[in-house]
Amino acid sequence: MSARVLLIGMGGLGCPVASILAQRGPSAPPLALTLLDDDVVDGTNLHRQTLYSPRDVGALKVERAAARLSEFAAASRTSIELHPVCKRLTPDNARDLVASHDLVIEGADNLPTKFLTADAAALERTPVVHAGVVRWSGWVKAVVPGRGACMRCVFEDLPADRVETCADAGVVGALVGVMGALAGGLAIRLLRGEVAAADAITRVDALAGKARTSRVRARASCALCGVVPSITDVALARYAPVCAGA
Amino acid sequence: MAILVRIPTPLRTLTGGKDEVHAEGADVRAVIDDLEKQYPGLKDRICDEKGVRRFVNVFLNEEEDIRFVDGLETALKTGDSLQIVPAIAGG
Repeated sequence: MSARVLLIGMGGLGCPVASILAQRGPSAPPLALTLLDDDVVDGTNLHRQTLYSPRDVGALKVERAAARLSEFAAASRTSIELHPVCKRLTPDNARDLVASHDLVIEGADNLPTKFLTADAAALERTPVVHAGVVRWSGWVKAVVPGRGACMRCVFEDLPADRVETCADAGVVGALVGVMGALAGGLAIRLLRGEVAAADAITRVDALAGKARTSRVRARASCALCGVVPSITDVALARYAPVCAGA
Repeated sequence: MAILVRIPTPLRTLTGGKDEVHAEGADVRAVIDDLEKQYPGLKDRICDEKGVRRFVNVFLNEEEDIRFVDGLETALKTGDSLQIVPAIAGG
């Protein structure tokens, strides 16, 4: 039976991740990939969202991505089912969406969606790969429930102040591709059962020319995966402002 | 003792663009206080009244999250380095 992967966000991170999964080649196991995003292609996306071209501006990202990925899969003889879903991840649908997949890859462009994904994945005991990137910096982390640190072990909660996003701070397009490739690699390792992929966080500073992988451990006091977790649902108020979109 | 501190991109506006700075201190708290003297406003981006801000991580020598050592009281020695790692949202 095909592994079922949910890819949240078909933007800068989602595009390279999906490209990797759709071009694993004929010897790779079959995969069912759900592409989740409710956004349309914008001209400002094109420098980093590599599945889209100028003629796609205005079209739904998930539909254009699915079309392009089908071409990649056919050319590389990769067995993959593509399921474009034009929705955003919300507290109302997060747990159901996660529960119907074996692995989640999160490439959202905002922290509320990242934390919502982390919480839903932990509550549904589903592995997840997280990634984030802005300006010249990025990070990527795999999470396997019950093994090592979850996202809240590392970044405990949403900041009260606004955090930079690509839209307002900008991002180096090529770096997004690098982080997406790292996320794709972690996803493939998890699909192979290599749970040790969850033992570290990798950070890249492209301006300084440095990449670092640091071991991270689960915190006993973590509100999500600790000894006495206080997060037992995905209540809307926890992710205010409401998720801006995957 | 002088401790090397690696500054993440979002905080470099406060350090004049520097990605690495040095600060004096025998523990993490003292180093952050010294950073504040050199680069006013930096401490508030890293710490709140309860300690290190919830969406920020501080690593010791690239490897150890200080929360698993002694938090802000984590002792430092010559040659140690600190890395400030905030949550990054974009994608």
